[in-house]
Amino acid sequence: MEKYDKLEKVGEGTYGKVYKARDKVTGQLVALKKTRLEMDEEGIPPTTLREISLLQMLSQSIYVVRLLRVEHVEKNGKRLLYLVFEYLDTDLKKYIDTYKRGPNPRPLPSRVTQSFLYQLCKGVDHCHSHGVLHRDLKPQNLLVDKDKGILKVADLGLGRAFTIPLKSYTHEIVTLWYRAPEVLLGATHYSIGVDMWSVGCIFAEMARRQPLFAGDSELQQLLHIFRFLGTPNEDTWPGVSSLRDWHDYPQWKPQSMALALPMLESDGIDLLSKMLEYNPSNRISAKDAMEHPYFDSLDKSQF
Amino acid sequence: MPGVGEMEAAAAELNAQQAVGAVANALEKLVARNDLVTAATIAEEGGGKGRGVAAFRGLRRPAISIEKYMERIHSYSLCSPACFVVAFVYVDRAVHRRPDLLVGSLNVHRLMLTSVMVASKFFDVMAQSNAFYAKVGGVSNAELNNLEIELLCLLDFNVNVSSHEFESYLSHLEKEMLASKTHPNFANHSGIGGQQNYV
Repeated sequence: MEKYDKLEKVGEGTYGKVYKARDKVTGQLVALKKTRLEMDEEGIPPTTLREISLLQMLSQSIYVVRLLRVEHVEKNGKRLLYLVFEYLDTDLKKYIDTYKRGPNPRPLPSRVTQSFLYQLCKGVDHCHSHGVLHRDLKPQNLLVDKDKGILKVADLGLGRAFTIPLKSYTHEIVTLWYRAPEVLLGATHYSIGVDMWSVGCIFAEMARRQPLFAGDSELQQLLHIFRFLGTPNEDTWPGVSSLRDWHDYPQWKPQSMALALPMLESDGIDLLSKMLEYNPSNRISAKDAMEHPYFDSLDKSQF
Repeated sequence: MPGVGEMEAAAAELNAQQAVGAVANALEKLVARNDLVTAATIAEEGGGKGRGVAAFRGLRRPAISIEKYMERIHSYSLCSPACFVVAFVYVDRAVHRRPDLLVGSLNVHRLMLTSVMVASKFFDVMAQSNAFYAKVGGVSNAELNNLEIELLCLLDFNVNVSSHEFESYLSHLEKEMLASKTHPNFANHSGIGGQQNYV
């Protein structure tokens, strides 16, 4: 890895460290994700395997983080795998935090929320149209270039090609706060709706500057959702009572989304309600979301 | 998504015996043909320790047939039967990328062990570790780790298989199987050699 100057450690994943580095020849900034391979019972982690092969397929979209190359190196008899990504300076979580904390707390400019949500839908649509579910969309996994106002989908470690569903999917996916109700209720087959639910939660989080549903257990997570959107039933979500983990829950009526999220105008509220639709088959797709009137005031030609 | 429904049905209905049988049948024909070609050259080279294509070559021909070997892998690892078809896709891809990779009796076991393991890691919800596959397959953990990275480099990490590809490989393998059953004497002349798209 003499090709790169390591500048600083920017993160630590399950399987190794992430460095900010500079390509010595081109001067390009990159993120190096290191995976140790040697003397390991597991071999290449399944998450790394999926991330590499899915990113190779998806990297041509500018709304998905670009995997520049995979470097397989040997050093002192140890074998290492470096994933070389383009470098972006921050992520959406840190970006939201700068508006929440610091000397001058203020809402995100609504233009930024609109533009980021549009780019997120573009990235997600790109994954879905290639048969890939992301399954772990959350602000930490969305990389942001502050100056250029660009947002990209990253971290496809939990991504799944849904082209060959061999066995039913695990429901151990997606950080709790962004997890769709069908997953929380134990659905064994799910689809693009799980990602769109997460997109809705992220949309609301940009508007509120804090998570929409911050549960600390699966049950608490469901109750947060039910309290806000009303407890679902066979009328609002046909089939819900036959899901594996369905129980009799307290009955809540839906709250007014417009009152809870006064910073969003009516088109924004309408789009959010379509993303947080209970019935996964009625939940809006990324492609349709991009055509929603909420984006009418956005100059789409720049994307 | 187009094709997902049918794919699901095809992958779910696939039983292990059929999948292993069909893949073994295609591989055995291929190995028989390639062994004739390589018989002269193998004796001159060492085995096992090389890099790239050579890494998969053992020193001697394993006593266990490729079919029994795959049955053994399946019975211990409990990977999805579809992984054997996907593994065949990987071997075919590797062969197309590296014309010097001749699948023969000295490397077919290691190729399939590694390919099935990678297929299961990629597609199955729960996959066994490399250490587990190494024990089942009769190689060391370190060697299998090495073979895994060699295979992935041969494939340029392209391990996703679309439903369309899966379907067409499966139907090819099944046709081959049928052809072998009905015309055993012509087995070596049917299919594979003439079908440019497959191994």
